[in-house]
Amino acid sequence: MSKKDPYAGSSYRISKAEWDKLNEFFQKIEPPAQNELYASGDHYTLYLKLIGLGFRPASDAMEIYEMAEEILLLGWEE
Amino acid sequence: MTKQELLQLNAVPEGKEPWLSYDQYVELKRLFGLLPSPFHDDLHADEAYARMHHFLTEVAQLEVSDDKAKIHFNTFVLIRRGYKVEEITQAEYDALRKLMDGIEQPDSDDMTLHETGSHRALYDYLRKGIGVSVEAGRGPAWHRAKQLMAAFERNKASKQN
Repeated sequence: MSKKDPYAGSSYRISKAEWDKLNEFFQKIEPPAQNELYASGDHYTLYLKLIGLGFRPASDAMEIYEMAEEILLLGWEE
Repeated sequence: MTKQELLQLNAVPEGKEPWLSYDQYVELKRLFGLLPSPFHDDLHADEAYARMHHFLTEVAQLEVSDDKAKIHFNTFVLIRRGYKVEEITQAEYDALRKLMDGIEQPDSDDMTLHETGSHRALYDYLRKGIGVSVEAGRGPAWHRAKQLMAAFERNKASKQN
């Protein structure tokens, strides 16, 4: 499976402050299980954070998690 | 909204195994994709939220009020719950394993599907060989097959214990 570019080819990056906030939250949560029998709220919160940053995440928690991971890997606007 | 406040919106029964069918699950995801964020004003939001609320209450049988934040959150939680995966036979499992062997893992929303090739063979076997419904696409076919195989392995392991 190829890694999707969350910026869809754009050279734009989130700011350092946004990156720090996202990273802080991301470090606190677990990767999603396939089917979740007990709601944690964590991946929904991550989904909302990505929407708030202007991204368009999928509804699949694993893909949301991977998108956040990729955004963090791509760094911030210098 | 804090985590505790968020979880107070939850209307999806905790610990309950998935009960939606695959087709219902596909529809759930489609409707969720049409929902604007509950925290922004959108002229088209009311109709989309009304349709989603109807699904949650009438199809999924959840008790959810028509509050947009609740609808949005519970739809997400329901998607996380997944769908009820059908049981397959040992022969079907073996055939799926063979078809999945060495095949590329596509994204779940990869709707490409050629007339021939390994993903087409997998899709055709799911539809015609096992007789389960699956969206036409290499992503849905791969992930559907993976779920069927995982459920078979879980069932087999639980019977052996």
